[in-house]
Amino acid sequence: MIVEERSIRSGLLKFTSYIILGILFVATIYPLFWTLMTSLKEYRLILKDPAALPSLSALTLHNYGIIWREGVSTFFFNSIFITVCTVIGTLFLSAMAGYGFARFKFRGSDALFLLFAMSLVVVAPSIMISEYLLLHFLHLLSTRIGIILLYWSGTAFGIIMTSNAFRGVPQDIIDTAHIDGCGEFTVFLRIAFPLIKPTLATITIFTLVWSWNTLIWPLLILQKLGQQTIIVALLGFLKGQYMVDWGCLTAGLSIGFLPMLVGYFFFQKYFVQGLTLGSMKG
Amino acid sequence: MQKYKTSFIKGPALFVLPALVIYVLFLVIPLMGSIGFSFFRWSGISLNDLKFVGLQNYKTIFLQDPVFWRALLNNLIFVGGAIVFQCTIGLIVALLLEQRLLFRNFLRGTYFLPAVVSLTIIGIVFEILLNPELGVLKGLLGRIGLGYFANPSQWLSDKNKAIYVLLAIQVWYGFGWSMFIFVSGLKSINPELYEAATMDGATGAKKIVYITLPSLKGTYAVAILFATLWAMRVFELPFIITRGGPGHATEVLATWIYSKGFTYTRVGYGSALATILLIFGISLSFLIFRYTGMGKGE
Amino acid sequence: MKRRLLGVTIICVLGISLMLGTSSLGAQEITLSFWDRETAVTGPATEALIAGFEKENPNIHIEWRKVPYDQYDDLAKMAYLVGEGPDLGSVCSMYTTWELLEKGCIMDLTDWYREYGDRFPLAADPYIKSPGGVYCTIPLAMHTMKHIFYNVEILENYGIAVPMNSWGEFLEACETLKNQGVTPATMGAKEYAPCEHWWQMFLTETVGAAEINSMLYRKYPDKGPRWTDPGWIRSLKYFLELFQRGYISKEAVTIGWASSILPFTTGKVAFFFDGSWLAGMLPPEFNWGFFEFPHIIGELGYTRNDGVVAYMSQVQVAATAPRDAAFKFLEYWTRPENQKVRWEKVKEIPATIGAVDPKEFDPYTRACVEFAETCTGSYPWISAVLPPEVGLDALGNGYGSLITGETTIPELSKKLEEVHQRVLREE
Repeated sequence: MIVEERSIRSGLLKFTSYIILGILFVATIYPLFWTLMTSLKEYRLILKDPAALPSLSALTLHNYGIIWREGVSTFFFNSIFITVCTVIGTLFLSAMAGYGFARFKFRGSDALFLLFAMSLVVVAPSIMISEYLLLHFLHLLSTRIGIILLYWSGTAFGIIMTSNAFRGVPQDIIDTAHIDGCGEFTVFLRIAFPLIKPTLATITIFTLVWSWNTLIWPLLILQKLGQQTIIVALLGFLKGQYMVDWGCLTAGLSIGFLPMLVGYFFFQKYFVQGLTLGSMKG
Repeated sequence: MQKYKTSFIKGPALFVLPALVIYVLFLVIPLMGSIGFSFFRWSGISLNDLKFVGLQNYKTIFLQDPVFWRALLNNLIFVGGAIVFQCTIGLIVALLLEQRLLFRNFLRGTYFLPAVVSLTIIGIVFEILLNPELGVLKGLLGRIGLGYFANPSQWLSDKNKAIYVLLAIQVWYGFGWSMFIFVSGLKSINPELYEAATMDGATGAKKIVYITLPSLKGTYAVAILFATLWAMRVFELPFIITRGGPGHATEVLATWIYSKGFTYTRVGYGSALATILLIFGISLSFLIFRYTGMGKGE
Repeated sequence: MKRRLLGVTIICVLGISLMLGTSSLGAQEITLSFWDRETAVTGPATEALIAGFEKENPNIHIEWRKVPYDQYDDLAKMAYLVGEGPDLGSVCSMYTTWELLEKGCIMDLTDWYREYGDRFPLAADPYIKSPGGVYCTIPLAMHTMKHIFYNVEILENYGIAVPMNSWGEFLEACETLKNQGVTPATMGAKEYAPCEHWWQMFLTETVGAAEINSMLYRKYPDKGPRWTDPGWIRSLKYFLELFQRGYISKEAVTIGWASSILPFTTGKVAFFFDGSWLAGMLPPEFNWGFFEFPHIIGELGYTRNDGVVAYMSQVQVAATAPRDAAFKFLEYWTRPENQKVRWEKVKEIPATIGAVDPKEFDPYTRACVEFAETCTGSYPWISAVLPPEVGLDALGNGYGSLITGETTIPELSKKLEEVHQRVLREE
């Protein structure tokens, strides 16, 4: 009797869970799905009934053709280049600094740590003009190097994460390494660094997604046409020429989020591991 | 590992300096610059034009600027909303996904999808979806019978409700992050606790209330802190979807800093707003650290 | 093995993107950067003109950067600040352009005008000269804002006659449509435009172009017209009335300019009001008509023919630009035969005199040109000429506040006057 009751209750619970999760699923993907779907429709069809599903014969890549003509390949490569450099740099800078904070106790370490943490509440408009003037002064305006260096100042999150993670490294491993004659940096690079892979994955994901998707800094700093990232370039012609043509607009928007979507789909395992700090198996 | 006591030069210098140098150069210095500008009146057109006004900007902000207070309120609404809605939904979903369900991993992966999309793109997408005349969302919600919510664009044109539409979109974007924070926290709960409880005859609900939720204390802190930080920094959504409107109803501090500092050419004033936001953000984070006891874990 | 492969892949990706991302220029070439905010309307024309210019001047290359319309001012201002402004750029709001000129960020074009100034009519002066009389921009198109667009089918179906002889008749027509369940009109009130355009017409009626100009070029806080004067307040009343009577939905505050056109072009709305640039954006198969914005009986404008005749799509030159190349570009663009491209591709009336044979004009364009020739008083774009805090903030956000009921007309007028006086005092 008790067993039946339990299984009815758990069955009911599961059913309700499915409903809730299902609704959330639809709510989550509908906006993106709608954008993709609309981008494959002809302009006139869109206006007739924006919410309708197109029949298979009505699908068209016409809108994507128009956007592609604007030369999106250059912008893609800019985004890739900047993102890759940013991720690598941020990862190493954060990990090194995190190791420094975790391993050593020195005068002013708390103050220094807080100095880094402060950046978590800074918004872009707050420092825009000063940053612009600074980059100009350093002759780094309109250079990809400039914006990468700017991005490399976003190490606060990584430092907090890595310093926390390094604390979990067992002391005896470090001691053994020292006995074997390793210098401090070697200990960091060869031993400690590889041990915190999940945390590194987390930082990589945060940095990657942010760097690819951000708009303000590239819009401001990368002023030459050939340097722009894909998001900035899309905004340029989406909020300009194709404002009214919903077909092109949604095609442009789709191009904006498809790379990340596809990347996420393929590397989901790493994303999940990174997001859950490796405490999950797949 | 244990900390090894030493002076800065001998020990951590090599490790900390690279990040520190870049950080100071590209963040601290501009921040100082911004704080500096807050004591001047400047249109931002020519560097010869700076006029020192002392604390005038701050006085105006606190005493004569209703938009500042509105923006502050809106930021707090975002913070509150992020904690109440985003974290709660994240927690509930994480709990629901603990069960052996079909498509569990697939669903879990999908909920994170909005978080990998650029906020700018999200803003434009929702701008289109919420267009009242062409009513995509309106038509859809009407079709599935959600009558009350059938007209989100009407909410957007209501000066009191507009901010909640933006909040909903922000929650849509962020609940995947919160969910993963909780998933991570759930996984680190010792399964032996559950076994012991089962042996004592506890049912599922009791287990959740007495074991799961209390064990997540540390995770709440992390989730709340993250949600708060995002909410203080919210910019793209109000900027793109409503431009801070209608008539400043959805202005947040970040958009007000931008509008006042650049579009209305009052750089000093914008910088003063930025300084206030900085202090506010630091204070709020500090409070959360203290209240949730996060700092003590170190 | 896996790590090495990943490393090699990263290096290859970086290398390829580096190669593809950089462009190489010939040694003798001059590159002019051109920041264009107007691509929504004029993209195809600009593309053709740039191609033509580069063909004629093979050693000059134009780097055409499309900048989002809304952010253009902010980006350009910062670039000029550090001396890296675009060699050629769309004009910011005029107030900002004049400030840039004053501070020496953009080039004085008097020399260019000495040679080619006769290409433009005198009426263009307020748009190309600073209040101090210095030439600083080149106009490319002429626009008027005088006619209401309407959906022919809808008006026929409900038996509404055009043109309307008075504003009262227009309101009656709206009432008829509303009672039949048709949305009379729509406007975009998310930003200051295009809702401001409606308000401007009422202001023209209640105070007239001369007084508007006095306000726009106001120098002293105690002199000149005030926002709290009766005529100014009445203009806001007429504006708000459209919403209070339900002829335009309050949800207009959520629609930007681009989205506001769509309900009109898809036949959901009967009337739409915007400048003559709209004509080029309406789909060819769309059956539309136009009539002059009706005068308001009892107001000053009833016996006058004031309105906006604007010389727009201006281009300004950075002080740091290569002068000769830039001047060549300006000369090429404003040549009558090249300006004709504007007409052919995007149906804009070129600013250059004689670029298009009047016989080629369709009825609407002819009406616009007629108005330009017979107008009794014109004034420039209000938000663009007023100081940003007044025009963009107080006024620009004021429309939304009025519509949602957050503020009342007396409060808004008072605030406008306060802010305007404060700004004038500070200068």
